[in-house]
Parts: sequence; structure tokens; C-alpha cells
Amino acid sequence: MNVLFDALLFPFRRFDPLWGLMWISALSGIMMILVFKKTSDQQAISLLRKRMGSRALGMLLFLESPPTVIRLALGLIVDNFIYLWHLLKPMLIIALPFVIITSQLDARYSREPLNAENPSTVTVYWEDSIPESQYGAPEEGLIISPIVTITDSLEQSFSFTGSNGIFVHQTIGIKLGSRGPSGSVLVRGAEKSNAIQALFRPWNANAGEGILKINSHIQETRYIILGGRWSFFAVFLVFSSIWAILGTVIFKVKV
Amino acid sequence: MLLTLNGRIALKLIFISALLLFPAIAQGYIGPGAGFGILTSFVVFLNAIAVSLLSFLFWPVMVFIRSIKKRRRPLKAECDKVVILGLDGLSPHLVEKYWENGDLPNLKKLSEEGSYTRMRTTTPGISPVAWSSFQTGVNPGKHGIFDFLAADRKRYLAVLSSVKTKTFSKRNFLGIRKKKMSSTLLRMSKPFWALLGKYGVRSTILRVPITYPPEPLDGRLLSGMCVPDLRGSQGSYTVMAPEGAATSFTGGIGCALTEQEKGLWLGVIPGPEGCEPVDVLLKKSGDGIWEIRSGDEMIKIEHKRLSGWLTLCYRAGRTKIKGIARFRVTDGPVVYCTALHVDPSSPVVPLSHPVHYSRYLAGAVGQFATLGLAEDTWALSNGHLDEKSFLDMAWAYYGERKRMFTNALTNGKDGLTVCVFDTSDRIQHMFWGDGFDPGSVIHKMYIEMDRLVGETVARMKKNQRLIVLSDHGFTSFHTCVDFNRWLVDNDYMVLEDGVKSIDASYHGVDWSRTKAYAMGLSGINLNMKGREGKGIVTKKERSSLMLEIKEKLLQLKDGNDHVIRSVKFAGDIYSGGYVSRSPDLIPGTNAGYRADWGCVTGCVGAKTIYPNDRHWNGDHCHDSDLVKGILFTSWKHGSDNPSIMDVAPSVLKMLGVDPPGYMDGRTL
Repeated sequence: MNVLFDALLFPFRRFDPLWGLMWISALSGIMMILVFKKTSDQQAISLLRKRMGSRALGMLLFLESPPTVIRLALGLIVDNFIYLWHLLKPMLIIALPFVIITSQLDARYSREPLNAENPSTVTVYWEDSIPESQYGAPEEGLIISPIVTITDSLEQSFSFTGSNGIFVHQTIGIKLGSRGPSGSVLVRGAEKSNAIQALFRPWNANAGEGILKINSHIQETRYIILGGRWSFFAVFLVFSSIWAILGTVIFKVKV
Repeated sequence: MLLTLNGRIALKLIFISALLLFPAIAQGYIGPGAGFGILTSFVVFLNAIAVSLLSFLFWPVMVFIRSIKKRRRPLKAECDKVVILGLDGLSPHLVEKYWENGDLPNLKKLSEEGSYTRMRTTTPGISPVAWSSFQTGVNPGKHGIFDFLAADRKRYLAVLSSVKTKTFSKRNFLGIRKKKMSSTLLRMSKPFWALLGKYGVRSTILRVPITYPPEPLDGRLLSGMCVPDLRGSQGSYTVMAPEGAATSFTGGIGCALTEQEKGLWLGVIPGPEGCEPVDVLLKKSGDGIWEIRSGDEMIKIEHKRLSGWLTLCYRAGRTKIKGIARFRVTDGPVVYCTALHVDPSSPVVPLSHPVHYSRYLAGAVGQFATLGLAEDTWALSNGHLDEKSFLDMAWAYYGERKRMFTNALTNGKDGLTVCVFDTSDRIQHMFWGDGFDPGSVIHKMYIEMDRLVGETVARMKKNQRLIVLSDHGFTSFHTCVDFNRWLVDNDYMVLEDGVKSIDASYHGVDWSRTKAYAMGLSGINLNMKGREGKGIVTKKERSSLMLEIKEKLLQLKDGNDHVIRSVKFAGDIYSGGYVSRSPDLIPGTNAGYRADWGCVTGCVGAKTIYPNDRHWNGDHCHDSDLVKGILFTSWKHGSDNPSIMDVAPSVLKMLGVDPPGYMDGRTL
């Protein structure tokens, strides 16, 4: 998948990440509407929509008769459920590529790269007790805060930073946040990963055992569009929808 | 394939149950297509609830406003609702014959619980005239419809009697001139549902002839007879064949079908004037199955069977004009395409009042035939449809009409509901010659009409009344009478030197020596000075000439049989402001004889009397006493010789409205 997405994004590698994100959104919108057309019963949807439109018109036509309006409204609601039933199959089929696309986009576009202005805070939750620590001095300015221990809640946390999305210390390498401008591959921390556990070792020899969970946080990326600060998902949602609407017109898809 | 339908449904249910039982974190948005679907579905849901609530909230307000706006009914209504079931052309002779055999139990029961009589029709007893009198309660002299065709006396042309269409150009808001078309209904006087509307009584009127273009009313109306097709005609079908060339013939046009590759043909169907023809792809798909595709719509049909509706989209500049048609494929392949009906879900001309009523019906009951004379009798006569396909078509249209009627009965609790079924008329026109024995097409049709009456009665509620009527009866049509040839032979019409016969619109008539001409199904006009374009008959000569023609016509014989049963003068049988539009003499033929096909539009043939060899072998354009209609009512009335004009004042009275004095009909 990474190779495929790398290839798709190759023409945009020198542009702002937003362009790559919009390109994938457009492509997804068009592809998903085509998949929708292929996997849904277009004739049934068309007939159903006509019938639903007719019931809505009927409600206006028979306003003088509340029982008729109610009957039509109930019919409309029933048709609505039938309509949702027709959507079920394409929805399930689309779900898989959707998950892949969103996880890829999430990996590539959702977080700011790890750097001096954008540190990550890591919190470790221990199962039974906090092992004795062997604190050392911060290394090369990458660990920007000493480890803070809260005994009551069995947690320890500290912040660290990196360069161009990567933290490297001795044999440990952690990639966090989006790296290049075009949305190249990124690994978003990955909770309980060995890398993060290993990160504790210089200061805590027992790290890696008895850890309940590890949370790492890094700042979300915001894209400036029309004066607003949009998340990657909002950009994807809006642009894929716009292209999907265009797709319904171009490919005459009954939605 | 191992899974049955039930098995697949069970699997789906198990899957959904599993999803519900083991929920996981889900994204609220799944793909644009389905996402829109869910979003619009939610909007629809809210809309349904909001409109229902609003309807309840505003209902008292609406009732209050109507009580102020509408007049109070002067009489006490005798019932809450009147339902009129029009069965075009149902003959009293056959009804009485069949119920003696016990074949029409529902009509028999209705007659026993209510009443049954034969009903006088108009002169002439043809649908546009009779249904106009039905809806207005007046004689033709007051509503101005005397035939299917009317005479353009200045130009000696036959024109449609009920609708006048004109094209004009109009500037739109951008100042660009655009061609527009407007149609005017030529039927005068007022239909009785318009009068009911003034008193707040709502009506639903379905396919009553001579209601196109639709007039505003308090209620809903779907136009019937005279609604044109997309080509602007009263029904022009298309036949596409591999060796076919672009030709036109009576009732239709021929087009070529080109083979693109093995098993794939391309045909073109010409549409409205100024529009590009629409391509139609025909593909053989399996054994005896054909696929017909136009645009992105596709239908499958069996060999030699009539298809469902296919939408054809024509373009005039940026304007889309949508029509619907049915198809039939025979060996060759030869493709028959019905007339291009105006698409009721996207009508290019107004088909209903309010305009969106046809859209509502199309969604509620499915696409339906909108053409005035929907059953393609020409295609059967010309051999482009066989009897089975014609009957398939007729019964398909009947099914559509029945669904509309049921919808109207379900949705309207009070007021007036009128629906006219014309399947009965078309089937009798085309199958009268096959006889009426049990099992015959006509026998089956009468039984179906009886079943319809039974179903209607079952839907009637307490304090509702039902009227079942036909506008005229039927007789045979075995012999054609060319009135123009008769006029030529008797020196009332003179042809130009060297002209022996005329193929179209009186081309070759010497009007300077012609005293009379026949036009329409039952009319002879005098060539009056000052009235006709090249008239020669003076007012002084008029009466004697009419008497002379009458006497001679009554002598016309076919062997020993008298051809003409009566000749009536317009001034004697009509009264009102539009008598001048009528033909001067109305000959009433005997059973079996009818005006020939050509003389109706101004042709002159070789013989006055000759056998009718067409499939159209039953008719009602005879002396009106021979083709009385039927009248069943769900209550007992005292009239033993009712007329079709009596229905309007009777319904008005039943619903609490005084019938106006100008109506010629009397309450039953």
C-alpha cells in the first residue's frame, strides 16, 4: 500500500502537502462513486427515489387531508429504510478501501513532523509499581524535559523532539509526524512499540516490563483553506465529496 | 448458487446481528456515495416528520381559510363523495347479453341494488363530443365540440376540434428570443368539477377526454384524449428495419437499422421538430432476449413481446425533452417503437393540474402512457403489431390506469373522483369482427370491466355514490361510405378538370362549382358564401339545398340495405353560441356503415360504398340512437331515458350545488 500511495503521490512530492491530499481526495471521490455505481442496484435506487419524490410531492398535493399526509409520510419513512438497505452492500464494499485510504492519509497528513517546535510528550503507565529509575542527563538537547513521575497514578512522562520527523538516539530511531512536503511515509509513534520502550532504557533499565500502556502525543496538522484551519480528514471529506458529486453527474450515478 | 434467496437473506441478517452484537468504533462517514445517501435519507426522514406535523398544525387554518374563500353550498349534500367510472364505449347490448349468461355479476348486482338504464349519447355519438357534454352538461352547440376534427372553413382544412396549438417566440429575462408553444382548449362552457370547486368540493379527474391542456380546478386533473406525443401528433409510431429507409406512412414513420457488429444494431428515432434524433442500440442477449439501450438506460425484452417503458432524451440546444416509449422486436430484426409519449415525470407540456400531479402519479404508480389515444391502433392495422402485442399494450395501459384510479380512491375521502378507461373502446374497435362468444377478446374485456366495477364497489364507503357509464355503445363497421364521392356523383362537389380522385385535403376540388363537402367522421358542410373561403351557396339556397341532400342521402342503398338512417340539421338539434362551428348536416349511418377513412380529411375515392378491410372493424360513428351508452348508479333514480348531459347536473345536486340554468341536462 505504501508503495502504491508513494507512486500516486510521486508527482506531488515537491509541492505543499495540501496538493497531495487534495489529489488523493479527488481520486478517492471519483473511484468510490464508480464503485458505488457498480456495486449498487442503480435501477432499484432510481425507482425508489422516484417513489420517494412522489410521496413527498403527494404530501404537498394532499395537504388538505392529514390522514393521507401521514400515510404518505409513513410510506416515505419505510422507503427510506429500504433505501438504506440498498446502500448497505455498496457501503460494506467501500468500507475496506475507505479504511485503507484514511489510514494512509492519517499516516501521511495528520500530524506535524517531530522537530524543535513540535515536540512529542510520552506518558508511560505502569502496571503495579514504578521501577527504580536510573535518571541520566538529557541527551544532545533531544530530550527537552526530564522524566516526571507521578507515583499515585503510576505514570511517568517526558517530552522529546527530533529533526525532520525523526528522533535518533544511539540505536533507537523513532519517526513521528509527517516528514517530507508531499506526505511521505510516517509511523505515528505506535503505542507500546519497542522503540518507545527502548527509549526509556537509558534512564530506566527495567523499562519494557510491567508497562500497562504508553501514550505519545504529537500536534495535529492543520491546513489553511479559505481562511479556516482544516484537519486532514475535513479536507478529505469535503474534496472527495465535491469530486463524488461531479462524478455522479459525469457518470450518471443514481445516489 | 447453493444458497437460496432465503438463505442469503438469513446470512445477511446474521451478519447484521453480529455487527450489532459486537460493536466497534466506527467512522460516521463511509465513502461519498453512501455518505450522500445516508445524509439525504436523514433529510427525507426529517422532512416526512416535519410536513406531517405542519399538515396537522395548519389543517384547521386551511379549513378556516377555505370556509371564508369558498361559497357555501346552497343545498344539503346527498352524499359525501361521488365516484364516476367511465368505461368508454361499453355497449348496452353486450352488457345485457352477458349478464343474462351470468358473466357480469358485479354490474348485475349494481343494477339490482341501484339502477341501470341505457343512456342517450350526443349526436354524433363519438367520444370527444359525448365526453364534452358529460363534463359540461350542455349540448354540443354550447361546448363547441362536434367531431374529432373541425373545419377551417377559410382554407378547407381539417383541424383538431379540441385543441389549438400555436408557436411563438418570446424573450427570456436575458433578452434572448426563445421559441415557445402554447395550447388552448377549444371546448367551451365549464366542466361541472369547476363549479364544485367554487363551493369547496375537491375533485380528482383522471383521463377524461377533452381535458387537454389541463384547466385549473380545486383538486387534481390528469388530461386524457388529445394529449399529443413528442412529435406533436396524436400518435406516430416508429418502425426500424435493416433495409428500412426514412419513410412516413399513416400513423407512423420508418427508419433504418444499421448493423454495427454481429448481434448489435443501431437505430435512430426522430423526435420533436428541431431536436436531434435519439440513438437506440439493439443487442441480442441470449436466446430470444433483446437488450435495448438509449443513453444509460437499458431494458430487456423477449422476442415478439412488448417491452416496458424506456426513457428517450432529446435535446434542443440546452433544453432536454424527455419521452417514454415501449418496444417490440421481431425477426429481421424489425423494431417497433410506440409513439413517443410525454414523460409524465418530466413533462415537456402540461399534462396535469397541478403540474406536479403527473410526477406524483409517475412515482406512485410507475411510468404511464400519456398520449391521448395511447393504444396503437394504426400499428395493428398496418401490420406492425400483431393482435397479441396490441392486447398486451392495451391491457398494460389499463393496468396503469387502474393503479391511478385506486390511488385516487385511496387518497380522496370526499368530493368527486372521475376516471375514464378507454381500453374498452380500443379493443372493441379492433376486435368487434371476431365476435362476442365466451372466450372472445371482447367477452374477456367485458368480464374485466365487470371485475373493475366490483373492486370499485368494494372500495366505496358508506354515504358515497357510484356512477358507471359509457359515453356511447358500439356496432360493427363492415362498409365504408365515401361521402365526398357521393357528393361528387350527385354534383354537389365538382372536381377540377381531369381529376378523378383526391388523395389529400380537397386538392383538386373546384370550389367555384362545389356546393357541399364532407369533413370529419359525421359532417357535411355547405360551401357557404361569406363563410367558406370560396363559398358559392347563398343563405337563400341553404334550406332547400340541405333538404335536397337529406332526401338523396336517405335513398342511398347498399344492395337492399339503406346506408343512412337519419340526416339531422345542426340548427334543429343544437342550440347555443357555437352552433355555427358545427357541420350543416349530420348524417347518421346504419349499423355496419361508417364514413370512409379518406373523406374524413378531404379525400375523394373511387367508390361511394366499399368494404372495410381494415382491422378497425367496430365503431360508433353511426346514428346516435344505435349507439346508446350505459348508465349504472348505486342508488335508485327515476329517469328511464337519461342523457349523458344529465350526469353533470345530477352530480352537482348530489354534492349540494344548484345546477346552473344553462345546463341542458336534467337531474336524474
